[in-house]
Amino acid sequence: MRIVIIGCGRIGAHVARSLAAEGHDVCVVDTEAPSLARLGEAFRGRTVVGPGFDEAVLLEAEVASADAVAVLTNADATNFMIARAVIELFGVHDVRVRVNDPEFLALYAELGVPTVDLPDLVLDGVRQSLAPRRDPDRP
Amino acid sequence: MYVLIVGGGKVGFHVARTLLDSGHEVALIELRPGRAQVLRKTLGDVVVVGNGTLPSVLDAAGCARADVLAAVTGDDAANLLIAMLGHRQFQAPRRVARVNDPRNERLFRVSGVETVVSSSSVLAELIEREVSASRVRTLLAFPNGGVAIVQVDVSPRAPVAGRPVREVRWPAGSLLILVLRGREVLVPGGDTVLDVGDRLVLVAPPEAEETLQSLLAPESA
Repeated sequence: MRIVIIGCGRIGAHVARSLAAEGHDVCVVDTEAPSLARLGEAFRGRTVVGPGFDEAVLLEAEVASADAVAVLTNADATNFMIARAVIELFGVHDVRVRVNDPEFLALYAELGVPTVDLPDLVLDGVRQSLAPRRDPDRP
Repeated sequence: MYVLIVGGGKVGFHVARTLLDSGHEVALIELRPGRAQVLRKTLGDVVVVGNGTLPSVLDAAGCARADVLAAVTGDDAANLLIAMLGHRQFQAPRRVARVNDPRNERLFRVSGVETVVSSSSVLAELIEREVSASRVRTLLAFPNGGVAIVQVDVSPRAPVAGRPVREVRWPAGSLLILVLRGREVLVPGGDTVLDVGDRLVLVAPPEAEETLQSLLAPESA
């Protein structure tokens, strides 16, 4: 599958590396060239430097023909603008957006844009550690 | 009218002050506490400190009852987000958003932001107008109407000079709306006689420009 990842912070780089290692064709976009170094030497995918909401940058990343697009920067307003660009300028609706502040979930729901709800994922993780253990071998 | 402004830079400050002076109710949301303090000295209690991209902050500032929501921060992503929140979550009847980078203007428009204000585009238009060789000056162009409000001065050799408005063969789709004569402003009727030096204000489509120029301000021979 062809996947475009926008935002190469720690999370974006991890997602990109993992999907590339699974054999997907991954393209990573970030405004800062040094951020792309997080992908490591072994990364075989493509990279594009520039703002993820810029039409020319998205064109170069070939979002229109991607099977999936993930918007993963740590800034909610930036993610929102990138998602608008991917949807409105390229007609791609299969875009998943990282949400850092749960306040914005309602807007994405209203617009029908799928999200990765980061605080909720963390909450889930913490909850699991609180749940009574089912493993009889462990105390 | 209640106008909610987000962004207390130079633009937000002047918008707030102008609207307050003309008697409107205003709230101004500013992110930086230090800047907010400075704004309060001139604007008073209408200044709120907070992150105006957050729905909770917009809600607390009464976004739901705002007649106009103006997103005028220096960050285009924030302005787009605020305008969309106003539209989809608070049903603000009118949204105005500032675009700092003209390359983002198209994205704002296709996202359904009602009024997009781009200072770079406004400046570019003004300069283009000044350097234009045409004697028909565009005062206001409507983005999707295909017509503009234009201004032309009646020159000494103009065929219309000394003739009443009704005898002039105005180009199709154009309409004379004002005649500025010295300090007078005339709303012209059919009997109004046009004089050399009159400044005419018209609504006209772009294709009427050439005819208007030859009627009102022909090349001096």
